Amino acid sequence: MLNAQSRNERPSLKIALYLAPLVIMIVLSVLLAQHPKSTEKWGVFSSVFLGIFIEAVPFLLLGTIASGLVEVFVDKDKLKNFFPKSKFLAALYGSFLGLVFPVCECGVVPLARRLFKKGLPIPTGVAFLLATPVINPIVLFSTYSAFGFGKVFFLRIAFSLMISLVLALVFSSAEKKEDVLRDNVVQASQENHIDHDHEHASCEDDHCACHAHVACDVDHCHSHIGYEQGMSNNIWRKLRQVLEVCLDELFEIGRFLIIGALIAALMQTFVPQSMLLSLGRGPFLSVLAMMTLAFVLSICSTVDSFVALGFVNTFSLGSVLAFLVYGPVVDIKSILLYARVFKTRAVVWMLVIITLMSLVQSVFMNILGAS
Amino acid sequence: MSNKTFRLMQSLLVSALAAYLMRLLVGGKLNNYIHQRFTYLIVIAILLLLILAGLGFLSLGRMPSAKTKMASLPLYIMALPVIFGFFIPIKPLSNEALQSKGVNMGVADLANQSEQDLIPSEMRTILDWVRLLKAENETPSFIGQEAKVVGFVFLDPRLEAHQFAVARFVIACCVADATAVAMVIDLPDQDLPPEGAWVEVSCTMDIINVEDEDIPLIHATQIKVIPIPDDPYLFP
Repeated sequence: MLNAQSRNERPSLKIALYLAPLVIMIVLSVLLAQHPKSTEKWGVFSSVFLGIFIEAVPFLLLGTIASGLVEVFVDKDKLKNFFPKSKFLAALYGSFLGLVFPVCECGVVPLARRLFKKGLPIPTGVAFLLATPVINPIVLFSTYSAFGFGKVFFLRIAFSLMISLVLALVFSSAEKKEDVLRDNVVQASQENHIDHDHEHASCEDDHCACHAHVACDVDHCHSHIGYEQGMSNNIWRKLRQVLEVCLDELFEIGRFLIIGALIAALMQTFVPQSMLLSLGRGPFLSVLAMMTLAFVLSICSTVDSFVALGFVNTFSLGSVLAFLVYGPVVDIKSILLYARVFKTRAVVWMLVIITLMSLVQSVFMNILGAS
Repeated sequence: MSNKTFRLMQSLLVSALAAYLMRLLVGGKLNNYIHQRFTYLIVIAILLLLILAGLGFLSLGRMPSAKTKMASLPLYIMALPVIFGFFIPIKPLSNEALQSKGVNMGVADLANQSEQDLIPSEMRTILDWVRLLKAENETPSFIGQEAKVVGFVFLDPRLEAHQFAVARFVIACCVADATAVAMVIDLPDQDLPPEGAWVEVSCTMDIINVEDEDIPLIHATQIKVIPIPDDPYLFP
C-alpha cells in the first residue's frame, strides 16, 4: 500500500496527480461544449473568453517584460532621486510616465507593481497606474484615429488626468505604505532583494551565491558575475533574469486576467447587451449604462475608441466619454489585477472614487451639452 | 509542488499557449477571435512565449531544489485558455449570440461611412450596405443594384412570414465587442432557410420600413446554403 511518503518519492505518480485536475478540466469542457443544452451558450462563452484573452496576451507580455527590465536594470536608490518631493508634482509626474512606458491596463499593473517594489512613491505609482491606460502614445493615437483632435480627444485626456491626480493625492495621504499596498509589495520595497514573493520560482541561478534561497539578491549576483565573467556575459545573465521575472510575472498576473476574462465572458453570455443599453436614456442613466457596458466588455484601452465610435450617434458626448474614461481603469479584469498591488480596502475606495468622478464628469458634460 | 516541477509545468504551459496561438495564426483562424490588424502583436507574443518556454526548460537543469512549496492553482488557471483553445471546436458567434449581443437591423453606427459606394455592388458586405443606407437615407441611389451577401439566417419575429434576416457580427477589437448587423431578405413562394444556417444570397436591392427604421431589403433571386466562411466576422 502506498503511504504519503512513498508517493512523494515516486515522481511519475506525483506528475500523474498534478495532471489529474487538468484531465478533469478537459473532460468537463468537452462535455459542456457537446451537450445539447449547453452547446450554444458554451460556444458564445468560449469565443468571448478566448477573444479577450488572446487580445490581451501580447500587452500582458510586454508589461511583464517592462517589469523584468525595471527589476533587473533599475537601481532602487537611483530611482528615488527621479521623483519630485511635492506630492502634487509626484502625481503629475506619474500621470505622464505612460508616455515613456506605453502599456495598456493589462501591462501597466505588473509594471506599476514592480515599480512600487522598487520604492516608487505612492502618488506617482497610483497616478501612473490610473493615467497610463489613457495617456500613452498608442492610446492617444488610437483615440485621435477614431475621433480626431476634437472634444472627445482632449476631454478624455483631461478627465483621466483629473481622476489619476485626485486618486494619487487621496492615497498619498495614507500614513504608511502598508495602509495602501499589499504586504509583499511593501516588504519588497523595503529590502534590497529581488522580489521575495514565494509564489515565484525565479533566481535559481547556480552561479549565484544565493541558490539556497527561493529568490536571490540581484545586486549581489551581478557584482560577482561582472568580476568573474566579464561585461558581455553579465548582460546575457541580466537578460536571462529579465526573462525569468517575466515568466513568473506572467503566471502571477496572467491568472487574474484569465479569471477576469471568464467573468466578463459569463456576463456577456447571459446578460443581454440590448437590455443594458435600453435602460440608459437621459443624461444620468445613459452615462451609467455606458460605464456598465465598459465594465462588462473589458476591452483593451488601446482599441476602445473604435468601439466607442459605434455609440456616437446613439449616445451623448458625456456617455461616450464615460465609456472612454471609466473603461480603461475599471473593468472586471483590472479590478482583479489591482488587487495584486493594493489592499482590498484601497481597491474598494479606488473603485468608489473613480466611479463617482467619472459619473460626475460625464453627467456634467451631458447637462452642458443639453443646455 | 516543488519549484522544479512548477517551472517544468510553467514551461509546458507557455509552450502550449505558443503552440495554440501559432495554430490559429497558421490556420488563418485568428480572425475568429480578434481583429486582423492585431496579427503582428500575436506574432510578437508567440516569439516571446517561445523564448520564455525555452528559458524555462533550460533553467531546469541548473535549478537547485528549494524547500518552498509552490501553489499549483495558478498553473491550472493558466491552463484554461489552452484547454479551451485545443479541446473546444471553434464556433464563431451566430444567431445564438444575438440574444445577448443584440442585432442592429437598421442604420449602422459602427464607424464613419467611408467609401462603400466605390466598391462594386456585388462585392459589398452587409456592413457596407447598411453604411450606405446611413449615408444615403434620403434618396438611396442603390435601389435596383445587384448584390450578393453572405451571413447567417436570423428569423426575426418582427418580419413578415416570407421574410428573414441575414446577419453578420462586426468586430472592432475582439469578439467581446462584436455587434451584429443584419439585412432583411424577401423570399416569396419559397421555404425559409433554417435559422442559424450560413447562406449566400444573390438579389436586387430595395428598402423597407420596419418600426420606423429604414432597412435594406433584398429581393432574393438565389439562396445557397454554405459552410461557415473562413472569415465569419466583418471588420470595420
